[in-house]
Amino acid sequence: MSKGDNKFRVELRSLIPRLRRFGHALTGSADDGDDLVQDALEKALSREAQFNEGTRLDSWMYKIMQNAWIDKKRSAARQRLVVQPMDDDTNAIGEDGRDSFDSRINLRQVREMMERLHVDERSVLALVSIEGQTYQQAAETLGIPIGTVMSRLARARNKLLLLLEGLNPAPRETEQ
Amino acid sequence: MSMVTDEMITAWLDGEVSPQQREEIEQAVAASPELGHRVARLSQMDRMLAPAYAATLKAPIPERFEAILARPRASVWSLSGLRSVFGGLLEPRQLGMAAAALIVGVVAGGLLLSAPIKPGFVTTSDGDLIANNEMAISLASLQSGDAAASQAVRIKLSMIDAEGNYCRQFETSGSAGLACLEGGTWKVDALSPTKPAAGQGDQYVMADGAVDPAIAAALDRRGVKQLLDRAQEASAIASGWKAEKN
Repeated sequence: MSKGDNKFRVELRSLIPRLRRFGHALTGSADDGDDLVQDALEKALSREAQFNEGTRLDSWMYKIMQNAWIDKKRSAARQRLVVQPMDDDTNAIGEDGRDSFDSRINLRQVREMMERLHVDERSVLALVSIEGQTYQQAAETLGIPIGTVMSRLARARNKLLLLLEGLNPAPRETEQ
Repeated sequence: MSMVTDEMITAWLDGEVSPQQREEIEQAVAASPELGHRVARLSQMDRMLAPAYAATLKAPIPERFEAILARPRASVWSLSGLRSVFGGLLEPRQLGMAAAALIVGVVAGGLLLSAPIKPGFVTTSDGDLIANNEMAISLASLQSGDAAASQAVRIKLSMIDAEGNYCRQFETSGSAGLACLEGGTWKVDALSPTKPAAGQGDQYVMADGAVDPAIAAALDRRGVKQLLDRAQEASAIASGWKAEKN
């Protein structure tokens, strides 16, 4: 990306809606997410020379946001985002004959339960399920192996399903 | 479902499995209503995620982001970049000094020995050069343009790097450099000998437009997010370098 043109800024601008969405999903708060977007935009502009044309700008920005969020959490030890203790027995899902849950879950509940996930799980879920990144892209964005992307995703989805179904348990058809 | 792991199911939902794995999973799902039910619920849940965060996609771009993107490009190691960042804050003479202050120094390391510095001004820790004694006190307490009472250290310029660390340009008799506040200590990131320019007294001045590649690389590596004006610098000093970084 040559220093003399505005292509970089135009492309950055076009990414903002998606960066805000990722920030919201990552932090659990639209405001915190926007703060991350702001930091990331500032960093991107000051590090423009470090960006390799031919690599994905969106991945680069997600990565900056993810790192900034982890730093922020680490330094501020924000209680609100402390991961809730989870029952490890996530394999129990699907073994109790529960009904389909989608009609009983609303989008606000999905966002609330996303916040309960560990930040590593939330970021990979946000990249793949929300931002539509492939496993390869998510692995590069997060700097982790593909196998780790896959295991974190599986864990994240299982936990989220448990949390959401625990929120609105389906009536049992038969009591055993 | 013994052979079908959670990872396989998740990869299958994302279309990230090989044709052979896909066949295995689909057979397992067909053979187990329980597994099929679970996969369906995972899939339904997953499809709710993007809609849950869709609000920003149609929202107008907030003004504060537009403002960042509209800022003039600030190549802080060039005089023109400095000028655009500083605006009218500095007199031309000071601006020249600030530019000179930025364009000095060689990345510390092997070249350190060639940069004379008073004994006791720096110490080493884990391979890093750390400002010590009067040097550390001067970095923490002086405003840019001011010198320590002994005249041994002069601060030239303050900035915030891309990671949000405060950095300061300094001069001592015989050397000039950059120190950044990391983990509570001023780490000396660059240090080089100064050469008084002809006719300039002891003021170090680079040839017009020349950028030391090592310095350009050092600045590039850190990234300079913001140069501090006098008020911001004063507030940082008063807060013990804990002031809000804008």
